[in-house]
Amino acid sequence: MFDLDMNSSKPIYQQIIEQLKENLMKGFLKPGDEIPSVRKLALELKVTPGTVAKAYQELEREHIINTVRGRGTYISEGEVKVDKDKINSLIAGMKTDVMNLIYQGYNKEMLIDLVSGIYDGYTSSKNEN
Amino acid sequence: MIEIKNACKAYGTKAVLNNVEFTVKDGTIHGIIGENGSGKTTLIKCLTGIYRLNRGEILYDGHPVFENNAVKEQIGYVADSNQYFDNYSSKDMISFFKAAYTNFSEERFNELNAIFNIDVNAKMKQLSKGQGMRVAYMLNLATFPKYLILDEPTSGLDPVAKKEFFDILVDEVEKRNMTVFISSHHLNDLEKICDEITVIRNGRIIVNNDIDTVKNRVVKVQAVIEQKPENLDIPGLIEFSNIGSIYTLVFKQFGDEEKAALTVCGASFIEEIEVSLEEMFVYTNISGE
Amino acid sequence: MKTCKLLKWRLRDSMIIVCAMVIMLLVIFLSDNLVYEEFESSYLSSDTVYHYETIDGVSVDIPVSETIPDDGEDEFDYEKATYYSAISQYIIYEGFLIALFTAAIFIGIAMSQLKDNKYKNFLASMPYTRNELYISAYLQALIAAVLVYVTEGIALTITCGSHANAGYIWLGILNGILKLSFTIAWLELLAAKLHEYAAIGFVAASYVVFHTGLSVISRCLYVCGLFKKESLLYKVMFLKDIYNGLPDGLTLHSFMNLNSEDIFLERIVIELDKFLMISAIFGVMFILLAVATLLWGTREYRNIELSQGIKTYKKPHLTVLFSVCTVVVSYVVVVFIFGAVYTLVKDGIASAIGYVFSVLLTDGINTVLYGALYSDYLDSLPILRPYVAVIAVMVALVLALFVCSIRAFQCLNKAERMISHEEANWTIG
Repeated sequence: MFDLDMNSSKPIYQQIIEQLKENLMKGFLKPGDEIPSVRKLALELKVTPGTVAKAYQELEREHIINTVRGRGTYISEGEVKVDKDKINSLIAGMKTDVMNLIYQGYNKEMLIDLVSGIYDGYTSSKNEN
Repeated sequence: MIEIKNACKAYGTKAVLNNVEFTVKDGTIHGIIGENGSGKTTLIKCLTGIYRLNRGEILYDGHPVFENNAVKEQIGYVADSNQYFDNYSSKDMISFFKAAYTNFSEERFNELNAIFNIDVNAKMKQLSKGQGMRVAYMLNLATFPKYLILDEPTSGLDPVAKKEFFDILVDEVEKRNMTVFISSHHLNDLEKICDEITVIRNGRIIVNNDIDTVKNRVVKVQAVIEQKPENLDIPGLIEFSNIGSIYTLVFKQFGDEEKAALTVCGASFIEEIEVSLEEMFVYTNISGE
Repeated sequence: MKTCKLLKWRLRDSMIIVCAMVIMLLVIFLSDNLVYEEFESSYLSSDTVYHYETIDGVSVDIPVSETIPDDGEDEFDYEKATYYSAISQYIIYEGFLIALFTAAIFIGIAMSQLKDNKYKNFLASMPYTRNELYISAYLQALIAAVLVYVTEGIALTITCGSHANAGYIWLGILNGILKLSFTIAWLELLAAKLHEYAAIGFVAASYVVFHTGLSVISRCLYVCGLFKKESLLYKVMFLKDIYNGLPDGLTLHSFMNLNSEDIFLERIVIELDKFLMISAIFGVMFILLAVATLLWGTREYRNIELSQGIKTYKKPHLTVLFSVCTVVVSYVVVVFIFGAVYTLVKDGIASAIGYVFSVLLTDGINTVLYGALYSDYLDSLPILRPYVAVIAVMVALVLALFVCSIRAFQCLNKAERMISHEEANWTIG
């Protein structure tokens, strides 16, 4: 389920967060599915339990997963809470990236195609399932 | 909770444990690393009530362990080699444990043995090191211990058995909030299960922290340096190597100062990458810490 | 319940002792039968003439195959005499076997204790207190010793009991209890934390040494004529044995006359002459060795950190004293009082005194007495010459002594190394 790159500059916990979100988006994980506990995942991925705990903490904060004591950890049912501040900062980041792409020679159609393609990539496998 | 307070132990005039002090919280897995002669084995023997400290105390939820059966009943101990009676079979050992531990459950042993598959009629002396360890593991887990002390448990286990071992360990910790104290030379094993790490050398604790903090004692950095630099004399640099123009550098700490110094040497695409516990050890030993 | 499990393991572990006991029993029975049969056939068929003098000075020569006519107050039962000769030879064999066997037992205990040492860490980590562990060790030693010595008593009883020889029976059993109490006292020292197998070695060596030493010394004393016929000591010792061991109707007087003191001494001096000096030296040496091992053991004991173990024994010298007192108490309670009272009731004060003395010197005096008893008969036997018997006993005892001493010293060395290099926190008895 997870494919971690130990040599990446991106911290492991962040890779875990993003890959879980990706899997959720692609439909490999559905709301209500059980995911491994902190320790079990740490064992499987060969990373420290602290790292997994950090990732899970963030995911729980975003209400993507929730842990039921004595039962396990599950993908949250229900809608993801909308975080306005997060959206604003992501858009700000996007603005910078778009600007840099324009400088690299990207025009409007190319940008639209690009975003479309990325979106399809995240959602098409979900539709196929 | 296991509290080790000011623990001192000497054999005659030779001090083996010197003011050892740390705590193991409930429901955590605490790893200890130390070479032979570091005092690690002595510490474990003090933890299990085999030896008595000369000074200081070891408390389990506030109760001392030495000569205290009530506390010892809650402690499981798997030694680094089979220490059970040579002529006894696992079945005999079950009977022995049953008499000594009030919480012993034969069903639990059998449940675990469904995974490990040890012949219960084989005598201890007929079992291999790995098999012996597994029997000890099962016997101790079948007492539903609150604390489990493991001394080099995975030496002698093949990868499959090792995986089974850790799966069960992690399960017990999660389900019963068992506290684990494990000593091992296999740092990559410790890395994936431990919450905290203690390093003991010459009877003293030199490191005691949560595992991520311990790993951060060194920082591994990858950078591209196009032109071979004259010298990479940056304070805090422990070691470096390169394949072509891709350099891997290990620092004691890596902040803006070090980054700037590196840039001056002609580095670009500077990235911090993950360091393993084993690498941390290797590098800190080299740096003479 | 859990102490029972521990004891069960310990006993299971000391099966070697049980096996040795069974072997002993078999050997005793076999040797007894063999000796008796051979003796009987050769003795009764020989043309040996027995010479004796009555009180009145009359010399009589009797072919041993004939019965003396019943014409006086002296009666001589050849059957019984024959039997006692065989028994006496058996005693020699028995002495030989017992010496070896005792050594074997202690080595067996030592080995099981050695193995015990292997498990001490495991047992210490289990929910057992040190006292619980020591108790089971004690019980093991006690059970083993009781089994061994009661078997010895039973073996003697069975062998001799058909002739209603109360003396043998009591001697055997009480002798065994004496050894038992001695063993326990020494094992006490052991369990009170002299390094376990060092202490076992001590027990073995000291026991054999003590026994041998007394044996040899008493023999020398007798040979040197310190036990004169007229002396009270001589009389009562014989008295006790005679009354316990000889058939009814045979009076002390007639018995004394059968084998005059001169013949006794002469015979024995001749036979033992060569060995007198060696015997004396051995005897003294052995006693000194026993004392030395005791002292050495105490020294080692003092070196060990005491505060770890049984709370009772805070001071090592007190523990040693306690152990020695146990021996003395055992002597007093079991041997003297019980045995002496019994003898007093049955045979009167003289016998009781004789009993006390004979028990004090245990096998030593026994050997001498029996030697005295049968030396005449043995002379005509092709089977066993007295000095051969004596040599056999000596060799056996010396062998046993060396084996145990070597073991003891090995254990001591190891204990010393362990004390200096490893922790000497506690030992398991």
